[in-house]
Amino acid sequence: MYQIENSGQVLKARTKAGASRWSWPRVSRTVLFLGLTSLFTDISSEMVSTILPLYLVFGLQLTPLAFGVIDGLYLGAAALVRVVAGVWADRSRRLKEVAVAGYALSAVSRVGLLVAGSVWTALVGIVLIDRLGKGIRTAPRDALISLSSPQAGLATAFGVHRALDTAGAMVGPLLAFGLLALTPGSYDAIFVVSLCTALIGLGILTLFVENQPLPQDDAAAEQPVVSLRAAAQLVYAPGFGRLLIIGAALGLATMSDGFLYLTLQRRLDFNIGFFPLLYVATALIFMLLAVPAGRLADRIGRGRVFVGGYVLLLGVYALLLLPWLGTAQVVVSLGLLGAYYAATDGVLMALGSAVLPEELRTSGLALLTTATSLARLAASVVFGLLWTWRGLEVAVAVFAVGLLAAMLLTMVVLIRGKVRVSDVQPATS
Amino acid sequence: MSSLLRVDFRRPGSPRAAGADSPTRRTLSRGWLFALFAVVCVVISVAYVAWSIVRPGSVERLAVSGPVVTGADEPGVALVAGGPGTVLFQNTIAGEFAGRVAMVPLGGREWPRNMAPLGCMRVHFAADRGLCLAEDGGTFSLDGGIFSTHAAYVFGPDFQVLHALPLNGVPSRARVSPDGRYGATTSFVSGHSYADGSFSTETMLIDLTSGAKLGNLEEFAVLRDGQRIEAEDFNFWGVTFASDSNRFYATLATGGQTYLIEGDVGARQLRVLRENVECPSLSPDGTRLAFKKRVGGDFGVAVWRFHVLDLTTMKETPLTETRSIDDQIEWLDDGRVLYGDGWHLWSMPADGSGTPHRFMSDANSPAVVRTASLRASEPEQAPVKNLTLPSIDLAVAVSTGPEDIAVGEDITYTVTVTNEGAVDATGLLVEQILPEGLNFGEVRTVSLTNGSSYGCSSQYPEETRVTCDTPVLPSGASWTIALTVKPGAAGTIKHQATVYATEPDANPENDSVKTKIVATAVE
Repeated sequence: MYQIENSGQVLKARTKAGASRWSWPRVSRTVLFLGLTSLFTDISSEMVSTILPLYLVFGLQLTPLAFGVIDGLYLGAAALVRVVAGVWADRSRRLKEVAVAGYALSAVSRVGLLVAGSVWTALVGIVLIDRLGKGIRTAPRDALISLSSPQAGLATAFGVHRALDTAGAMVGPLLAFGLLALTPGSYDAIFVVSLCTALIGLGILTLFVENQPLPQDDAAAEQPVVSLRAAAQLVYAPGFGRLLIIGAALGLATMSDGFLYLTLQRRLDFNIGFFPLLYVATALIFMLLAVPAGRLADRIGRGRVFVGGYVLLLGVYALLLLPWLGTAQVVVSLGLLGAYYAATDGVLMALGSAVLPEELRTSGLALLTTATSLARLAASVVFGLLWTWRGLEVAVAVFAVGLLAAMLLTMVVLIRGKVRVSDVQPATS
Repeated sequence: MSSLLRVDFRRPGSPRAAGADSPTRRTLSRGWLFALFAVVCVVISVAYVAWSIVRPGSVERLAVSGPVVTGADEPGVALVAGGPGTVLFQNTIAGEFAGRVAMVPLGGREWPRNMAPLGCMRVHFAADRGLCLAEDGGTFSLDGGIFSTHAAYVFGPDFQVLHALPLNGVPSRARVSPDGRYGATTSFVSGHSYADGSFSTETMLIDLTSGAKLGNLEEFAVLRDGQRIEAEDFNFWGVTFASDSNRFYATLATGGQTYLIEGDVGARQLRVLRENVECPSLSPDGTRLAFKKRVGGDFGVAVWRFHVLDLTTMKETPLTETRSIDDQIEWLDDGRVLYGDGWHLWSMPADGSGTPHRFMSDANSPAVVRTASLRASEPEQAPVKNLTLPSIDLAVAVSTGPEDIAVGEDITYTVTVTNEGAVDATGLLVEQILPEGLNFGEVRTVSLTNGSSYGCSSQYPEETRVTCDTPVLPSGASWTIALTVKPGAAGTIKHQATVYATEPDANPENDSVKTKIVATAVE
């Protein structure tokens, strides 16, 4: 019914659009404004998340492990809310309004931080509100990106959005530390700046982003009913079901950044205070490569770039297993990790958008994100247990083998899917 | 970033495109609206940050950030040798002195609390040196990583900071050797997110005289049965020094198991002694180690119980605290230990007898300074800055049904707490302790005049202790809690209800009530 991948057609569409190899990417204003919304929101949330765990862990007297368990519960709640919000957005056709609700919840949580002070029970609730807001907003936002972009430029559009988003995630911690250096101990000042930044993001979304009209608007009589059941049925949709399997399988073999950085730290034995630098370096590469990777995906095929991204991740695992070679190993690992994110994060959403019907776009993307994030959560737990029981090298080796298996599965599924759907005309475009 | 992109301003298929209100004009007016909004946001942010920089330090802040600039009304304080000793701790009563190091004489009452000009998350002191772990508001230094948000402050008996070292991660433990020569810090360091479920600790040794970092325990050689062992997942925490300062005990974790290690500062060597010992603390006479032992727990939340290990016989004795508490014990004297549950300080006998008793409310990180006593640095100076709270008078009454019941029948304990004092009581905690072998039913607040309860809970399923708390009980008000249990076997059921509050109680005798019920088997 829908195409997963048709490079010939993509190339044709690109030629028609007249874009040359070296031009700047063309994206719709909706994508740009959504990107700016994410930029400001990420500055806001990263400012807070840089300093908040210190309080929760210290104030609660929780070990980081216990905090991890609570955080896992938050993630679970967010996953559930994401799917429900996705269906709600599709049903009401008000993607923007649902996204606004999600962004607004996060802004409200900043007010909560200012008011709550150090009452830890309140802090836990406030973090929950923030996570729920994040759960609600991601799927309608990604659906808006895909609906406002031409089929042939989906990965580019997601690439531009992710580049802006990651820029915000880099600026946030730097701004937080800068403010702490300016006025030591004034966490309330950080919360105020974070709130204002969140409001700017919310303002951009509210004022400049419009809901995309669906083709079915013209034929209101034959609108399909959007329901949780209809969303669940997506699992059986030919192209999409495969993507869910791929996303979950690869997610299960993905080591979390935190473990990866910790592994690097163990190998090199560098000062643990450099952790934020690792994160910033990865984000920098991700930001720089997100747009080129998206354009490459639109040109040579999203599936190829997606699989290519996981080849890079496999490279990171291999580097972790190699005997110690020096600082270059860390630099190359971080470069590969950033490139892996650029090649997979937005591209997966583009792959999903290409096979999802417009009226179920948000629900579908919500399912896809939920499947991958739950798989990654499970992977984190498994990695932690493997590390504890069998040691670091065994854990990395098991994940490398798992990733190889998941990639083989991905290639088989993608190739089979292509053969099946290549001769069917896509319903959209 | 936007300059890198060419924006396609066409909105394909927009129904409004053909309307009278052209998209360009709409965007323009919205643009102005947004510009105004953004300017307001930026101005508010800048103004607030500017105000944060210039405002006086007395504003109550979340941060516990080391040296406090004291006003003229706050005289200097000092620890002076002689006398019965002092208990140093972090005061956690909300308000001006939240997070500050406070002192009370050892063996005396917990009020008034004498405030030192230092805010610390963890504090320890011995001889003439103290160690204070606190937030430092973010320092840029290559030595402590790119950003360190915490610092270890070395201070003297007058609480003036002598040295400051950047500290990685969240402070967890601080210890000073008995002669004040060395200090040890443990902090939690982890990845970008705690959601990963991974954690890592860093334990650092400091020369308190020079303020130099002696090293990280991960740099020391680890010996097990004489053989050198190495692993990438080594984590160290909880140092306690012997009287010669050079020898110390600590915890090593590897492969999911914790070990007691004995260290040698000079030889930079660690020797594995035995399994399952965390946060050891050496008794003043050097013969026993108090520690927390992991007795259970899955999914990352460990369950610990305090134990004492006799170093001569290597015999372990469980202590009577039934809660799982994550703290490094401090010895009150050779017979009693002192520890914090995160909210309050508790003490209990170190030989496994007796029961825990609340030593001090709203305090954390106790340090017992045996060879010094508190005095204002100049006796003729103005009175030291003290924190005193007005006395309250709480009373507990417990009513039950018949005193003899049959197995399988419900017992309902109705606990009523009354504030008979003239002022409001805050931070109330009612604790009910019951024997094992009971089926616990419902516990709830029946009535609470002029207030609302936070609720009741037993902290861990295996515990026979139920606690209920409420933020405030006004003068003259009362609070009634009902707890229902069902005995599973015949026998005597002892119940004890105790009320605790932040303020000192004028009449502590009526704060605890014991009852006894006999359950008989049904034929």
